[in-house]
Amino acid sequence: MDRLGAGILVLVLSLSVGAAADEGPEKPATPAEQYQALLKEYREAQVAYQKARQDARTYEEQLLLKYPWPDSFAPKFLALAERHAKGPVALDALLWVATHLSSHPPKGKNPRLVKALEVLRRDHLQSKELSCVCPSMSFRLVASAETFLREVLAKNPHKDVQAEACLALAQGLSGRATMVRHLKKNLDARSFYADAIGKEYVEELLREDPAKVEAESQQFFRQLTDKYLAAMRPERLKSLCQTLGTTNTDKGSELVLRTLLDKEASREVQGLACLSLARLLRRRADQLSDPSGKEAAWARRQSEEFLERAAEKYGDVLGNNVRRQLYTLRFLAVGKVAPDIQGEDQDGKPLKLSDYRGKVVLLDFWSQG
Amino acid sequence: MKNLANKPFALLGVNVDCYKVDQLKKVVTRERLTWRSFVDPRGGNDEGFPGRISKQWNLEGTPTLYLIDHKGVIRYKWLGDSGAKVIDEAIEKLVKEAERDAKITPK
Repeated sequence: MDRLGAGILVLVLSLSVGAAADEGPEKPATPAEQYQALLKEYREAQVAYQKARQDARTYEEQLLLKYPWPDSFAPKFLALAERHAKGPVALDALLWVATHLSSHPPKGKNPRLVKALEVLRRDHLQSKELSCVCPSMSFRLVASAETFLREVLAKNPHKDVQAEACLALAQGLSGRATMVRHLKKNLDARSFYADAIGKEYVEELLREDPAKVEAESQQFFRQLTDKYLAAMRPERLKSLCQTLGTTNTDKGSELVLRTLLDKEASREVQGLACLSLARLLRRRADQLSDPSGKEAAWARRQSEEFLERAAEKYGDVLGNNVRRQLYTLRFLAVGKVAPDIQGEDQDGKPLKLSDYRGKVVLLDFWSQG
Repeated sequence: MKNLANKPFALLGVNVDCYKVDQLKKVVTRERLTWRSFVDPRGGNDEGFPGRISKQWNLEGTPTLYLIDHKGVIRYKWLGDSGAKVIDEAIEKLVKEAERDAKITPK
């Protein structure tokens, strides 16, 4: 009954809109208005999907829902950009496609992404606006994005755009090296990723030499450090520290953070760099194939030193954050006795982690997200 | 994860969505999860994940996995997708240790 009601409501609404449009003199929407309308359409589809997902009663019902991938909206944005190729809206529409399809990359070689990047390179290679599209590409550096970033780095005249392209290449290649290693080691990951990102792409990755990819990533991190870091704004540097401290374990990122800690003027950036170094080294230690070995012990010791330093010298600018990290390092690191958890389970029954002493426990923090 | 039925091993979840018991029950039933999960009630204040347990464990993201040995010591920690093979091997190694120790000191 609910659905029927909603159906009628939509019909009535669309009728009344049609009637309103008939009354007044026709005034075609400007390109900017058309762009805004597309943004709204996308936003509303996202909201509707989230709501339907929450309302679903069974898993099967959830599976039937279609996620509104940005890819299905891309043709409209591309068409708008083509209709008004000379106007400012073209750049906005192309950037939307490039950003959304890079951060939610669809499977395989995506012709919409390829097209958007081609036109951006052809018509907007000198634009100052390109800095905003670069970070999204570091998430999964597909071939078309890599070509784009290399060209932007070489030919865009703005230093801040070059910096973002250089950073995206460094991070993208570092992520690729990690991914290649992961795929080479795990057979079951191959079929999982073949489903998620396409078989061809997985095969391409398997042909890469992870050491070489990582070496190139390090080169870009070095270029960033030598040429661009000093001119980047403190706000950007802070978010960079956060990202590297949360996701990276590589030597290139370590170099960037050490440089910021030693040379950056802002104490806030220094403090965050110090804390992020501690986190990066701790994660490196945990991810080594032998997390109780010598190399891991070294990284963990270094990590602890940076944390002490962060707490001692930068406590005023970092506050709570450092105290939490110190706690993580002291009580939640490999080699420590796990703190007990007391609570209840999905049936409302009491549940205690320490009741499982004597058994090996895999503790899985999960969310539905 | 194969053949762990009669082994000294348990999988425990912590759902970090801050659901109430009945909401979590609904999700667990829908996703057909066969293991027990802690509900993570809201712990108030500042940044990060909002739940009490997630706060205590300074959760950085999901999935996060901790592998804890039979003495209660954290032996592995994985953030993000880490590959079933890596996890299976680590579990197998620790289960063997647990079985060996159980033989030495029978209860």
